Amino acid sequence: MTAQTADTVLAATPRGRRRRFNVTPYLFILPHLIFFGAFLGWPFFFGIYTSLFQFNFARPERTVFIGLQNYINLFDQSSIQFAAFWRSMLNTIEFIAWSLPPLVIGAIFLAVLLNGRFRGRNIFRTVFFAPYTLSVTAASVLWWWIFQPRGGLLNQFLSGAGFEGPNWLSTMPEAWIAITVCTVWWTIGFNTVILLAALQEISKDLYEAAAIDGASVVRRFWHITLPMLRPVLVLVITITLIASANLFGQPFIMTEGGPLQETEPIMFRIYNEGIQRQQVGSAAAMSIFVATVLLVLTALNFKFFGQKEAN
Amino acid sequence: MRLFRGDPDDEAEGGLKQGPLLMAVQYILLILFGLFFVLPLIWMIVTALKPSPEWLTPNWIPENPTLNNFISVFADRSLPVARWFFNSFLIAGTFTILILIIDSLAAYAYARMEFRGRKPLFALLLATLVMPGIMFLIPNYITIAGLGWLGTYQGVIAPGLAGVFGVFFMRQFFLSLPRELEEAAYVDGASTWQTFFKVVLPLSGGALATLGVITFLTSWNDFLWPLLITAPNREMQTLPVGLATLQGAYNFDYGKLMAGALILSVPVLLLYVMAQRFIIRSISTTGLKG
Amino acid sequence: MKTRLTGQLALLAALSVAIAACGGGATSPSPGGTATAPTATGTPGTTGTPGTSPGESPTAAQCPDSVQDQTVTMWSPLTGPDGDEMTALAGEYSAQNENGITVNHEPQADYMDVLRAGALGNQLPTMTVARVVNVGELVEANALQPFSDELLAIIGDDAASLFPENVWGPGEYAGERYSIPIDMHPLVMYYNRDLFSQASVEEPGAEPWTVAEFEAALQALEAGGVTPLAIGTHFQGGALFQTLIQQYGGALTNEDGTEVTYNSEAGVRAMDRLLQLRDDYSADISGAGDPEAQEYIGGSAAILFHGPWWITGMQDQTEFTGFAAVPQMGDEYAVWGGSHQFALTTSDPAQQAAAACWIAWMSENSVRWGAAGQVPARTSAREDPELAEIAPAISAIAASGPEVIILPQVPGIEDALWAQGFGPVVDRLLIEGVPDIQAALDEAAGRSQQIIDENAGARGG
Repeated sequence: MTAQTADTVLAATPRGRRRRFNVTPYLFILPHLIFFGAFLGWPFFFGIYTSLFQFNFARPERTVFIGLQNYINLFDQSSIQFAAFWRSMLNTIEFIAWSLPPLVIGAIFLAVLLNGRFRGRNIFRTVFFAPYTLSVTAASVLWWWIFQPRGGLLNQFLSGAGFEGPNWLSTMPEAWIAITVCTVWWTIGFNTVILLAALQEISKDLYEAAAIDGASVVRRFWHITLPMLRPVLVLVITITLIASANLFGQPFIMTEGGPLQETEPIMFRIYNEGIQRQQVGSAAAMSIFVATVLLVLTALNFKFFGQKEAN
Repeated sequence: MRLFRGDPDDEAEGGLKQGPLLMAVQYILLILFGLFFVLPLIWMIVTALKPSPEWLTPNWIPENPTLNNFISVFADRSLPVARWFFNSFLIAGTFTILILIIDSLAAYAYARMEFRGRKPLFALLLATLVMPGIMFLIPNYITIAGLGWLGTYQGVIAPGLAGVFGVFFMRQFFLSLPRELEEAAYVDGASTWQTFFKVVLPLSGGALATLGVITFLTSWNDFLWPLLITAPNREMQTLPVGLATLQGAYNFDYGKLMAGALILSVPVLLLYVMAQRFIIRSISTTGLKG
Repeated sequence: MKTRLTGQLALLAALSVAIAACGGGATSPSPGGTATAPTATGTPGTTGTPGTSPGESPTAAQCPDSVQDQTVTMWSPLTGPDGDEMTALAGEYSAQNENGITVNHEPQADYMDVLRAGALGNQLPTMTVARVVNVGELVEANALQPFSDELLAIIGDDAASLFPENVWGPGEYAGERYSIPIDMHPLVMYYNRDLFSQASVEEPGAEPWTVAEFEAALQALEAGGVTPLAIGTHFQGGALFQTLIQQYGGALTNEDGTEVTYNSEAGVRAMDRLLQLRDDYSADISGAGDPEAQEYIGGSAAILFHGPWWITGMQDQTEFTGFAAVPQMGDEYAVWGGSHQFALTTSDPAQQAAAACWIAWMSENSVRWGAAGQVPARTSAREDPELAEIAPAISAIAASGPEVIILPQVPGIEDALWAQGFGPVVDRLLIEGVPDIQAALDEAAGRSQQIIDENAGARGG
């Protein structure tokens, strides 16, 4: 792939001469932009707006402008939000550390495994994707039961093999292991399917040329596969990061944030603040803070993985 | 290990021979991981076949197997199950087609075209991706209510069309396409539209099919938004919302829960299998690959 | 890991689970489950005049003739089998009544979200069933309309006298009546009759066990080689704490819910007692999803205290379960519980009147509501001998109905007290121990107080 810029491409276009206003790109992005503006853009800025208020949707007369107070509360030790917010932030970071590597590296591995032509390919691909079609409730209840310390499938199996299984859902770090296993089982199919699609785009010729040059399997993977996967890897890592940060259903069902609020993720806090306490402005501030952190991480992700073109 | 795409029509697999050892390793790994994925699924099916009180007993073969959990969903004539299926198919199908069109158009522009505001605009798109979804719920509900779209199909579909994931996804795929074909088309005098429709899209069959399955699944399983939009009009309820009303408010019926989950996932799995076949066929017929 | 759209799904799917699962600490769990064939034991009903009881005014409600041909849409949280009895009652009324009123019962998953959104979008039904702790929140969300005196007259000459104070009082908010009680659901004592007879322990009768009887039973069970109790964390731990603190003469808050009081001496005694019961008489059980209930169902423990929504489950899954009121374990008698209430969501007077007619009829016939696994709130229904036939399990626990502790009607108070307050302390007590209980309760109470104060400030502003 050569490093030609889009400028060169456009320059060759009979209509799109350089410097002349071309309406075509805007037509391409317009349909999406209309919906985006109405249903994401507007609420996004509205959310920023509400974060400056003690906002009340049902009774607007109770809405009070408080400036940055919602944000200050997050850093004020004496506020009611402070302790719980930071505890759940740390919990979420812990979960991201647990789940991101297996979800990305494991997916690459599985995609490679599933690529190519072999007997039973369709069956295996379907099986690996099937868990992803389940709702979060179904998947979480299933693994809640598997990890039950007294009578659940896993500990029964372990005791049959002579081990005493731990109390999976009431001790740390076992609880994170349980939640991670559930999450990986449930969602790795998503990543795998995307990476598989990307793998299938890679031209055979590249591998053949490398093989003729004597490159081993590992070298082919490292120097051809991975670089060609780069753009899609950026996507997968970004999406996985965001999804892990949005963790909610699995701990809700499996541990209720327990054992001692140690698996309570940040979305619990935002949900408690916004829905249960109906403090919409405060929840908006929390959301924006979390979003900003994620944005920084995403930008870093782009920088590391996205920039270089494959040679 | 095979690192290249297989061509089902091609007998000769090309220069890369796969030694028997490597094949064996591949199969062993596939089976091991396959077990990890499939055993809990089998457990789900087994649970769905058990009458309700039995679900916690750890036997893999139900003592009193019953199809009741499945039948009770379809047999109860007061439940508009067919209607739920219809609504879900209509909504998810329409949504998927619209997303594929809208998002691939936008993604192509962000990937290949230079225009004022491209970078900041795409950054804004990504910025909304990192926002927790809960933020958008009430404002969108108010917007839809204001448009008079409560209790309508468009009310359920519209906000999702703003989604950025599809744009992001297709953009990354477009970025990884080699530019030679597009450049050749330009040189031949094709307009941007023609290049997009005649050259780029056909090359993107795999990506589009993948995005299609994912999008369909997302819409099919969507619960909260359809719940809120269809509450005033029960005729519009989708399958997940309908199935949720069958669960007791205070008691999980685990057998029924698993049965419902399985019923929900079958259409998507079928779609996935079909998409897989399409992807393989589409790849084998395009010119550039292999 | 999914896109944002499914993040929302996860949020709400989990929400529906929270409400559906055996009462997470954050929401007020209520009982559920329809009773199947009445096979459980219970005390035989006493004879008496059916329909009314001494002390209740004999006037039945009168539906005005001006109310004609109305369709009442009623939302509720009672999805699945839990609401089937209500649907049946609604159907019966629709067929029977002479005013041409049709009542449509539409259960909603996540009914609070749906109601709040409905209020914002101006798409509310005629009326709704609500959990009593949600009434204030729904008023604040602009979803409810008050009952006028005329409407109350339709329901009964002196509606307040029809119900015990503990479920009638919280239906009033900001000086207006917003809800009419349907039922109350106390914590229930489930006991294994087989294990009881194995240890030669006499089954409880119609009256709750006294402390002495309770202790004697525990010791006898232990001597008989049986694990007496199954005590876990999360919902059950929290509900037991609330029961015990009242049994020791304390309370979670003062009467109007403005001051937190669970860090009193009674609170400490309640914590000590809970820990002692668990350490002496129960296996070490913890975790979400009610594993203590599974312990009991599996036959490993003789007694389980849990929400009444397990009644149907117990009848289905075990042959050996008997039902009784929670014993007195402290100095006085009290028991944790919740309540369902009828509330109006429409402001149309004709619709409101039709709703009131339906409420009146349903309330008069609420002895039938026992079949749904709930204790009818109406005094006459609870004392109706028919209750023993319709739902023996309910009849066995009906005596504890008026003793059910219902929190003052303050929006968000349950979450502030429980999930953000004493709940984690109870969990910590049972999982790893708490060296200084008073200090832990003080800290939690301080946090609860702060939340309650800030909530009030946001409302008062």
